[in-house]
Amino acid sequence: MSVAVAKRTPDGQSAPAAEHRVWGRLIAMLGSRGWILLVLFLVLLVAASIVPDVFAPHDHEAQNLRARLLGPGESSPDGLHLLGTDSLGRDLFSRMVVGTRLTLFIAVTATLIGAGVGVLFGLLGGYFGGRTDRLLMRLGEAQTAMPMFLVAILLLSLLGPSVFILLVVLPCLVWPIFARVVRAEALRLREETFIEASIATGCSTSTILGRHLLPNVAPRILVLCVVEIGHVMLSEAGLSFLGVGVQPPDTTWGLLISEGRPLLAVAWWLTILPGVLLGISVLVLNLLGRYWEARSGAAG
Amino acid sequence: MSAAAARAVLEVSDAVVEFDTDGGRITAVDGVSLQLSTGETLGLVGESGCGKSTLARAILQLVPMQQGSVRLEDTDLGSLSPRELRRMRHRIQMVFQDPRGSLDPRMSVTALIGEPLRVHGIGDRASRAREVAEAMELVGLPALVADRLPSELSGGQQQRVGIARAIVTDPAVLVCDEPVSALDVSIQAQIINVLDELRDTLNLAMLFIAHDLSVVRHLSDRVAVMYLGQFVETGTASEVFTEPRHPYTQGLITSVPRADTESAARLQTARRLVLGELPSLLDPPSGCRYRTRCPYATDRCADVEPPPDLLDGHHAVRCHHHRAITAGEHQPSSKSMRG
Repeated sequence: MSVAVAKRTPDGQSAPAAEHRVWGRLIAMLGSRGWILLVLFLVLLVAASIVPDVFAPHDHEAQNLRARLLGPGESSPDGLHLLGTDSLGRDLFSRMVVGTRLTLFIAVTATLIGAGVGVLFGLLGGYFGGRTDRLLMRLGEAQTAMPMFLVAILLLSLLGPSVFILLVVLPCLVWPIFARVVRAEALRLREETFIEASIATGCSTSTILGRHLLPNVAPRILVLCVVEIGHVMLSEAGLSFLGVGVQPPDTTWGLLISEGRPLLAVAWWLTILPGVLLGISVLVLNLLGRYWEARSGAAG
Repeated sequence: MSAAAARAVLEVSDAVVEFDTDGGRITAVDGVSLQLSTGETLGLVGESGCGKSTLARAILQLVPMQQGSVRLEDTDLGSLSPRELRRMRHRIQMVFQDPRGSLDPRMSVTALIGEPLRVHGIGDRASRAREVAEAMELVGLPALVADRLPSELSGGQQQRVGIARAIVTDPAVLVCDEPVSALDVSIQAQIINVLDELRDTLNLAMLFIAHDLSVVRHLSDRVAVMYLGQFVETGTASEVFTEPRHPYTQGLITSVPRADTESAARLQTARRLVLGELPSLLDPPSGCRYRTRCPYATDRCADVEPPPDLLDGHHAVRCHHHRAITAGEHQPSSKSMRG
C-alpha cells in the first residue's frame, strides 16, 4: 500500500520522491480506519462554520480590557479562556471558531471556481488536442510562470482588498493544476474504445465530454479539490497576513495570525495557535485527498 | 441467390484509407468494394494487420477515406455534414472487438443500452426503458444485471451489452469487428448464435469480421478474404470454403486445424500453408501483394498486379495462376516450399 502511494503523483507534477515517501508513511500510519478521524475533523470545521455559536464559549467581539493578553487556560470574570485572549481581551478560541466560516467559504468557493475553469479547459484541450490544446495549455503555463502571488498583491492593493477580488484571484492560482490533470486524463481516455464506440453510436461532442469523459475523471477531480482547498486556504492566509486579503471586522485564520504577529514576543499564542489550526487543516485535507487517491488507485 | 436479388443497403465503392505513420504513409485499405443486402452476412477474413478493422472504421466514418464512397440506404455518408452523419448513425451500428473497453466503465447496463436511443431522441423515457428491456432479452441478458457496471459482468455478458447497444436503434447494417476473438472459446459459440438469430429476427445486413475461419463459415452467406488492404478472393461461403482458388485462401483454410473432411484432406496433401510473416504496409510488394509468401509465385506476379478474375457469378479471385493451379498445371516452386 505505502509503496503504491509513494509512486503516485496526485497533482500531475513530478514531485521529489522523498516528499512522496513522507506522504506514503503518513498515510500508512493512518491505517485502514484513520480516514474517519480526518473526516471527523472536517465535519467539526464545517459545523463550526455553520453554527459557530454552539462552539464559541464567548462573544467573539466582546472586548474586555481587564482581560487582555491572557494566556491559554487562564480565566477572566467571563469564564475560562481556553486559548487565551488578544490585546483587546477578546477570546481567541471564539475568534478562531468564528473565523472558520469565512476561511472555509473562501477556500471552497475559490477552489470550485478554479476547478470549474480548469476542468472545462482540460477536457477541451485533452479531447480536441491540436491548436485548442496548445492555446489552453500555453495559457495555463503563462499563468503558472507569472508570480501570481505578486500579481494578486498588486491587484488587491490597486482595487482595494475585498472578498470578491479574492474569489477572482485565488482561482487563478489553482485552475492550471486542474487543467493539467484533467487534460492528461482526457488524452488517455479519448484513445479508449468506448469513446470511439460513443462516436459510432451517434453521441455529440458535448455528450462525449459531459457524459463520458467528465464522469470518468470525476473521482480524480474530487480528490484534487480536497487537496487544493488546503492550498487555497494557505494562499488566502498569506494574502490576509500581508494585509491585502480579508479586512477586519471580518476574520479568517490568516487574519488572526496577522493580527497576532506584532505581539509575538509577548503573546505567542495569538500567532501560533491559529497557525497550528491552519496547518492541521491543510495537512488533514492533503492526507485525505492522497488517501482517497491511493485507495482508488489500488482499486483500479 | 436471394441475396443478390435484394437491393444493397450498404454499398462501398473503391474505398482507400491511408495513414501517416512514423515510418511513412501506408495504404491500409486499397480500393475495396462491397455490397451488402438486407438479411445477408458478409464474412471478412484476413490476418491481423490486413486492414479489416480499418475498413470497418472507414465504413462507419470513424476514420477518413482518401477515396471511394460509402452509401447507406442510398445516402452517401461521405457527403454528409458531421451533424447529418450523426443523425444517420442509428442506421449503421458496430460491435467492437474489446467488449470491456468499448463500454463506458461508469455507466450501468441499462444506461449503456439506452444511450443510443437517448442520443437519437427515439421515444420517451418509458418507451426507451421498454426497448432496453426488450433488447436485453434479445441478446440474452438476464434482467438482474440491469444496474450493474461493465466491470461486474463476464466477458460474454459485456459483449451482449455491446450487441444490445448496437441493435437497440433497429439499424439496417451491423458491422461486427471480431466480436468474439477476445472471448473464451466456450462463450464464442453463444455470442455467434446471438448474432445469427438477431440477423434473422431483425433482418440485419451484417458485415462480420474475424480471423477465425470456422466462425465466419458458420455465419456468412458470402465471404471476402482480405490481404494487405485488398480483397484477394470473394464468393459465396461454400465457394470460398470448399473450392478456394487463391493460394492465400487455400493457405488460410489449410492452416486451420480440424478433423479430416474431404476438402481439408485434399488440401492437406498439397501442404499449402501460409509462409512467413505479413510484409510491411510501408513497403508493399510490387505486382501481386501475396507473391512474397506464395509458393506459386512467378516473375509475372512481381511485374503485374493481378486484376480480380470473375468466375461464375460472384466468385472473384485476384491471382494470375489460379486457373492453372486448379487444373494442376502449375506446381509450387521448390524454393518457396522450403520457406
